[in-house]
Amino acid sequence: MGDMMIDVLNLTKIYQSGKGVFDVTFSVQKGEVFGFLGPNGAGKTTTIRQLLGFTNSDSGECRIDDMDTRKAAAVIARELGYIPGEIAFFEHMTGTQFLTFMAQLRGIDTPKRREEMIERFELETHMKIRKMSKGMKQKLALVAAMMHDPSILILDEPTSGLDPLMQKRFIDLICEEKRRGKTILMSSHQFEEVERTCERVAIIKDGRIVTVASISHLQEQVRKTFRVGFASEEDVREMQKTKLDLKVIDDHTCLIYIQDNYTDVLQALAKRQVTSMKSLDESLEEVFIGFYGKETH
Amino acid sequence: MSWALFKANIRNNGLIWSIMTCVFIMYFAIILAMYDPEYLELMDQLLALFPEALIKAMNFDQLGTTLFSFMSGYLYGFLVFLFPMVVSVVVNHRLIATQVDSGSMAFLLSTPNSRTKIIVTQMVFSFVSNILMFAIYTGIGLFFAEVLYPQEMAVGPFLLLNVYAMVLYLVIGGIGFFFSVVANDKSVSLGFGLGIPVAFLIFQMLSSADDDLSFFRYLTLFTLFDPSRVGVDNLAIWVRILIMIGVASILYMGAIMVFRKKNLYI
Repeated sequence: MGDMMIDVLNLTKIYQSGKGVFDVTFSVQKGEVFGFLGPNGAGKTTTIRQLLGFTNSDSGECRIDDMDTRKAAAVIARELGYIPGEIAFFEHMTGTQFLTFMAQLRGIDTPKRREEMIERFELETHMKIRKMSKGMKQKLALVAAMMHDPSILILDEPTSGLDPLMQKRFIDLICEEKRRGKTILMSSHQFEEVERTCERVAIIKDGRIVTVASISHLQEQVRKTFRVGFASEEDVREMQKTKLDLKVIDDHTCLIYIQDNYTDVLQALAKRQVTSMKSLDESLEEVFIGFYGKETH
Repeated sequence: MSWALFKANIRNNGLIWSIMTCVFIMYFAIILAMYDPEYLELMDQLLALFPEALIKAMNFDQLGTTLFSFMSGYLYGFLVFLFPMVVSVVVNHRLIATQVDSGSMAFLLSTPNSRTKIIVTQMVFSFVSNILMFAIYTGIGLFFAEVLYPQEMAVGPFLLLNVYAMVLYLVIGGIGFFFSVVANDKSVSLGFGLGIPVAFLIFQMLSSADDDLSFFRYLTLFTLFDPSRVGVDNLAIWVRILIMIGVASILYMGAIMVFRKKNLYI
């Protein structure tokens, strides 16, 4: 497998409802931060469950560090930090008791790093978990997943329930961990977080991978929109005769969409009298949403 | 076997375990205090006021005249199916099913502990909870008896009776543990873990209430538990103990095999 750390190979797992994941394949390289995106119910958690060895696949397999995740789950777990998508704790414990419990289960005690994480996320550890807010529970899960400094992180929607400040601290932490050579697979709904941390993403919809691409490649695909004002109605009519992708707003204004055909657009515009021009930014988010909406069958 | 998980189980189940054990111990004291050969006649008159079928259903028709038979009839005829049962059902339900249903099992299994290690730890806890409970009943029962009625308790039969009851609870615990593992949903676990022992109990009560209903004894495993024969026919008791250990082994081993293989939607 070379320097592939996480491999999902033709994974199929179908639930009784008929939903599930179908022939999912992607790989995460050692030292890479990889985003796993898709709408709710698309199959992110189903795939991640298989990566943790919780389920038996119908066909295909998942491998981490070239070990079968179902058979070698306990060995893989030594180097793994995991945040479940739906977090349920041992509610009767306090935060401190839970973190100690996890350290004992792992047989790895790293008090210094644990304290560092607690401070970083301003976690109140003395409280009973039952009494914690959703955000506080999420922070506890974050600390529990990171405190033993694992080399692989699998994070299922790690920032859900976090306030913007904590989301930022999380992004900083992920960037730091990336520099320290960690391999990270992260499912997310936060496009900004993905854009700022991930090198590549897989987008899944209805249980099937729609695309696996680098963030920079996706950024190139971002369609630019310009709002262009013309001196006369004639200009607008002439523009409509070109093959350019545009939309007429009123007698003197058009929206022109540019993918990578800048030259064509500029040549067409040069023949007309342009009175104003404004770029309307489209973000990567819209590219993602474009994929989400795309029919895959 | 994971000691950390074992300790977490103690923390999680300690309260209900202690309360139920204390309540049952209280009954030991109350029942023992009621034992007085002079008043036994009075007791018989009191019991005669109740319908005969009800008395039979609760096995109170076998109270006998010795301190041992009095205790075995009162405490181990019917009450033994109440308080220890609550503990057994709740503990076994919590050991696996609630953790799979809520998803907290995900944290356990994301640590370097194999499924086998987790399930064996939970099974050992299930045993220890049961064994410790009956060890305490035995100790306290003998202590109370010795204080109140020195030299009157038949120690040998009382020990055998408690071993017998504990093995009965290996079966009840085995049922709870098995369904705790098999169920994907906690209501299913509780439904079978509680429902089956309660159904067994009802069948047993029906079968002893009326001779016409005695066929119900074939529908309940609790027929294997017959405290009135302890000290009378010990060979029959040991045979039944071995049968129940066999049934419990199948249930616990089955649970381990299922847990190692099953899909966990956590």
